[in-house]
Amino acid sequence: MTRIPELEQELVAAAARLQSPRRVLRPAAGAALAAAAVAVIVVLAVVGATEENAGDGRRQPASTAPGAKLAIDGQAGVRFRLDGRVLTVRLLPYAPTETQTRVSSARIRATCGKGFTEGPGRGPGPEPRQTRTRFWPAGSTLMRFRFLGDISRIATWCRLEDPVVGHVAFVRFAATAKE
Amino acid sequence: MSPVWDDAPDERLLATTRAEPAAFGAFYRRHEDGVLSYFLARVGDPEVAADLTAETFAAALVSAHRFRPRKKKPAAAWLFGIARNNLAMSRRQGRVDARARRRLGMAPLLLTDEAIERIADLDRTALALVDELPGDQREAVRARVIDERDYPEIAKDLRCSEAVVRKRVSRGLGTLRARMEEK
Repeated sequence: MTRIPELEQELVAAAARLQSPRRVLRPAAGAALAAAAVAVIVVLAVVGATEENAGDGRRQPASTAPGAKLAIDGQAGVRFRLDGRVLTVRLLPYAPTETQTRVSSARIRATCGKGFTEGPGRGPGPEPRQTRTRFWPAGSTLMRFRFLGDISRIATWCRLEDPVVGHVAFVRFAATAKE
Repeated sequence: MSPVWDDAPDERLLATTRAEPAAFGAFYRRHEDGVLSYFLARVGDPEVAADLTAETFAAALVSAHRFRPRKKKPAAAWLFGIARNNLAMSRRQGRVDARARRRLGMAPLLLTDEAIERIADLDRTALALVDELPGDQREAVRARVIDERDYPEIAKDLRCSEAVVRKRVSRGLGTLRARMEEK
C-alpha cells in the first residue's frame, strides 16, 4: 500500500482520461488555460471544495475509519474530521490569514449537528447537536474537540466559530446510507 | 493494482502510460516515498509535502509522453527536476501550484490523520535509512539529494569523477528504495 493511496487512484484515473483524445488539451489551449489558472487557482480550489461539501460525488478516502466523516471548507481552508465523539479540525496549508488570525489565541466553539432547527442541546423539539468550546493556542494548526456524546452517525454539518466574533468555517457532510 | 508493471523500467512505464494507465500507477508507487521525502525534508509539513507530491506526479503524467530517456538523465532525475521546479514555483507564489492537477481534472487531496502520520513517519525513516547507507553512498546521497549540490561540485569534494558520484547516488537511492519497501 502506498502512503497516499487516494493519490495513486487519482493519477491512474487521470491517466485513463488522457487515453481519450478528446480529453487531451491541445498545447495552445493548455498554455492559455495555464495562464488563466494562475489567476484563478484559489477560486477554483474554493469552488472544488464547496462542490464536494455540497455532497455531489463527495468521496470518503479509502483509509478513513468506518463511520468517520471528512469534509473541507475550501474558502476558510479548514478540514473537519468527525470520528465518534471526536471532531478534529485542521487548518490547511492554504488557509487564508483571516482564518488563522481568527482562531489564533481565541476561544473557539465547534458544533456538529443534524438539521437546522432552533436551540442547542437535545431538548424536546430541537435537532440533536453537540457543542464544545476550547482555547486555540497561537500557531497551532490542529485542534481536537471531544464532545459529550457521539453524534458522528447522524451529523450532517459542523461549524467552527468564535462565540464573540462569529463564523470561522462550516462544512456539510455528504449524505450516507446510514442517514 | 497491476503487479505486471512493477518490474518494468521507469522509461517503459512512462512510454506506456497513455496506453496503459496502470503503468503510471506503478511509476507512482516506485517513486512516491522518494518524492515525498524530498519535499518533506524541505517544507517540513506532511500536508504541504503531499500537495507538492501530487502536483509533481500530475505534471509528470501530463508530460510523460514527451519524456526521452538520456544516458545522463534517467527518469528518476527527470521526475526530481519536475519536483524542484514545482517547489521553486510554489515558493515564489507562496502557495502550492495546482495547474497540472487542474488540467487533469484531479480532485483535491483529502488526507486523513492516518495518511498524515504515515507521511510524517517517512521523514524519520528516510533519514535513519540514509545514515545506514555505506559511507561513499551516504555522502553522495546527502550531497546530491539533501543538499541539492551539483554533480561536478560533489565530484570535486569527493575527489572522484562525476560518473562515480552518479553511480553512488543511483546505488544509494536504489538501496534506500529497497529498504523502504522492506519496511
